[in-house]
Amino acid sequence: MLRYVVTRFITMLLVLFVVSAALFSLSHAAPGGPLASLVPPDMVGDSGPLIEAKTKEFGLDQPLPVQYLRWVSHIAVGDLGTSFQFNRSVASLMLERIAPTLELMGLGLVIGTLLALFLGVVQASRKGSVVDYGIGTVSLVLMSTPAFFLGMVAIYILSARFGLLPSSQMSSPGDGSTTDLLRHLVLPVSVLAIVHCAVMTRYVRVGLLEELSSDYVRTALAQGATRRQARRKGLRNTLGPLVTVVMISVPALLGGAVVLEAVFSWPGMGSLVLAAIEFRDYPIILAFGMIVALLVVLSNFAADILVSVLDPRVRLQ
Amino acid sequence: MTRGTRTVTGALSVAVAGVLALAACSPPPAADGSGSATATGGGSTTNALTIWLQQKPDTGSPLLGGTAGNGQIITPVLDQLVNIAADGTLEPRTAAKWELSSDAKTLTLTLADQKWSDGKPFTADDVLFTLNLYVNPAVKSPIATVLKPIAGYEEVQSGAAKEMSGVKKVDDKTVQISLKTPDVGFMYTLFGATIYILQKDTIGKEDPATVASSPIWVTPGKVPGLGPFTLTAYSAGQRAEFTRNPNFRKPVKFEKLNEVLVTQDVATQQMSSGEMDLTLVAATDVKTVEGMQGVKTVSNEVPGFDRYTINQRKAYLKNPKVRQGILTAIDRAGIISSIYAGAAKPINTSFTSPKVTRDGFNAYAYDPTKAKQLLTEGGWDFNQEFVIREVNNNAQRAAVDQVVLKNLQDIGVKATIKPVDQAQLTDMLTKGDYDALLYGGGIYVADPETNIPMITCANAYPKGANLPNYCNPQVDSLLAQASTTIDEAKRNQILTEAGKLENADVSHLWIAQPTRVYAYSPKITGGIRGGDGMAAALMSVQDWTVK
Repeated sequence: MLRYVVTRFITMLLVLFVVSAALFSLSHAAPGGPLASLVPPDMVGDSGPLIEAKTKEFGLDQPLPVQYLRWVSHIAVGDLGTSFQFNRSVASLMLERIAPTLELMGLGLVIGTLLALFLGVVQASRKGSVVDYGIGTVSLVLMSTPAFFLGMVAIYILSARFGLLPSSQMSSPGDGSTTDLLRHLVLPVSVLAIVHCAVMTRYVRVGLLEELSSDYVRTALAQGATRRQARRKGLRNTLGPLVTVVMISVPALLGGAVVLEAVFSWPGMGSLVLAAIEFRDYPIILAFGMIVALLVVLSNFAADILVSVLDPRVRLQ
Repeated sequence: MTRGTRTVTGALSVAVAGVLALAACSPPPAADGSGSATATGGGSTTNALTIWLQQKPDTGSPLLGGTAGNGQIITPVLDQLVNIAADGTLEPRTAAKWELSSDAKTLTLTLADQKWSDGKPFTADDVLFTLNLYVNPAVKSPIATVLKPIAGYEEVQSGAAKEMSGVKKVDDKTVQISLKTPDVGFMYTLFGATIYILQKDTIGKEDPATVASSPIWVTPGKVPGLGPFTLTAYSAGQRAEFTRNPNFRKPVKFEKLNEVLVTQDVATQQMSSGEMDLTLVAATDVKTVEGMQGVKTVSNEVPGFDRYTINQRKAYLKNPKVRQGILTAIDRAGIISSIYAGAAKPINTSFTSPKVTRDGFNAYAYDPTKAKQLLTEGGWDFNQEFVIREVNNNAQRAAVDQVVLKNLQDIGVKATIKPVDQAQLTDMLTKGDYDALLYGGGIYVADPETNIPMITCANAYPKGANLPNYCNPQVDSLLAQASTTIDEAKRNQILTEAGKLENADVSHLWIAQPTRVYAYSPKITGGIRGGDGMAAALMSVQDWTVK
């Protein structure tokens, strides 16, 4: 196990290094740059000294390899740099925004997964029934519907039409009470949870049906176990692969959260990064990219460990 | 532990973890370091208004070139000398009175009797400090060139002097600005520029080399202002909250102002749900908004206009007949009635000030046959591609581009649209990698002198703001003559002559002078005067009445 962990750790570092180089080159290769947004085009003629000073301040006058090495040497010690547009440390900006994103993503993941477990079990235990086909059809439709569209429909019906829930942001100006926070959470979390649940339900159903048709379940039933007990046993064995799918979907969920943050004007990392891309705010773009890369490698690693914990037959080597 | 107990325990653990996570997660903290960007207490009251934050602010600095977002953060807190209203009239702000001498070389400002938000008296020292700070080469403000006509400007820029000799304090409430040469229109340029008066006592302590990008501008409590509010909370790129400044000349009638960054259609939708109290409305949403219960609208023509810069650095666009042909090919009346929903006025010159008489100007009415003829006479090669660049952040302009594309293709021009990111715009304009680009804005209605940066030879881009690189020495000469002509009737005649030449030359492809429509909630009962954008609407906040 220790050898496995060490090997995986070294591999992760190599992956992150390759990703950092690719991310840096691609972001700097995009046309335009951060200086274009400093002043409106009709003031460019009067802004020579400002643009020159900012070019030096941002380190953009250095050759790209030098810029890369400087950035890597800072990020290796946790210094994510200073935002070009906000003139604040990237770390502080991200710390401000990561909690709302984790809240949205985390609640969406948890609620979606729990709902998927429930619906998947219902489907599997009523295989071939109207309930099974009904849930399956609805989940297929929801899987095929983009999350942003669902979000817009939800806003139209529940906010614009019936005024039941707020349509955007995390809180109302002048408020910020727990009730206010909860009311603002309902729409975006529901949409994210529904989208996630639609995908996961199918995995649960298929996985559980496979387990329920295995020999050990048939043996348990023959020995007098109830159907409920057999389902519980089968579900336990389904969890292994499901955990893998859930962990691997975490980065994708982050991508979905970025889209929904734009729809709901949610003050999370997604809206910060979208603005950074528009501005060509390289420190934020690169920091976000590396965080996602780190999330992917850690999620995969965690999935492997969890699977071996849940299923003793799986040995890590 | 039984299985059932384990299940219950597990479920409870998840629930507790969820509640803890929720309690730990709050809106992003304010720049003042407090735990929340929102005020304590209950929900919004009639004593607080929420308005649309039109664009994401970044530094909030009055010393850098203004974006709409920064303008909306600055305007509630700081104030200008004089405001040019949407109809071109001059509204006193921190300067209560102004007078141009008979030789047009001296502008005398009498300051308003008011205090700063921190209670200190507002004096001429603050105005002198501000003007000299903008010009200080260490600050590197792009707005400094507005002050170029003032005596002593070059000396400060070169480092030979610390202050402009042409800016003098007469007494605590009077400032005298002396110009190098007579300039009748200078005050319109000065008043139309985004120069905000800053407090010498506080801002004077900042390092000029770093003050322009300093975080103080978005830090609550750091910057005393002469504006109607003080900044109380700021969440980068999301929301700003302000509290009434009791020392403002005419204190506003409500305690708190919140500015929230959402997209325009979300802001419009929030008018119906009551989450928003004031927003700018897209032309195509006006009817929807007028149908919302309790929501009223107010509208005004903007002091600028929408136009294409047509790249006259390209040889095939230099001939005025070609530009006349392209303009004649565009169905501008159709664009106004459909895309602007009728809320715009056609224009055929950059001189929108009433000082220029536009009778007899060519109307360039939509006529595809005539357009083709003009292009042929101008030597247009119909195999030549005509590239319209489109910035991907404005739905209305994208719609106009589509109509123009179709109009040009209908007469055989190989027109095409190539999108461009905002971040690529400066590069694209500098390299001249475009044929036409639609943009808008400006404050030209007060006086034609404000048009000088956009159409004179010396200001050809990238040296100045003349993006299309239009150059007619005769127009330049007439404008220079008008600057020094004191007799108003004669000056207007000269300006009209310049306007006629510019109309014939088609310096830009003029599209329309839009009307902006603002929607406001029942909480506001009147007093709103709009402009071009939300920051302009805030100029009338002291007159807003609320329930």
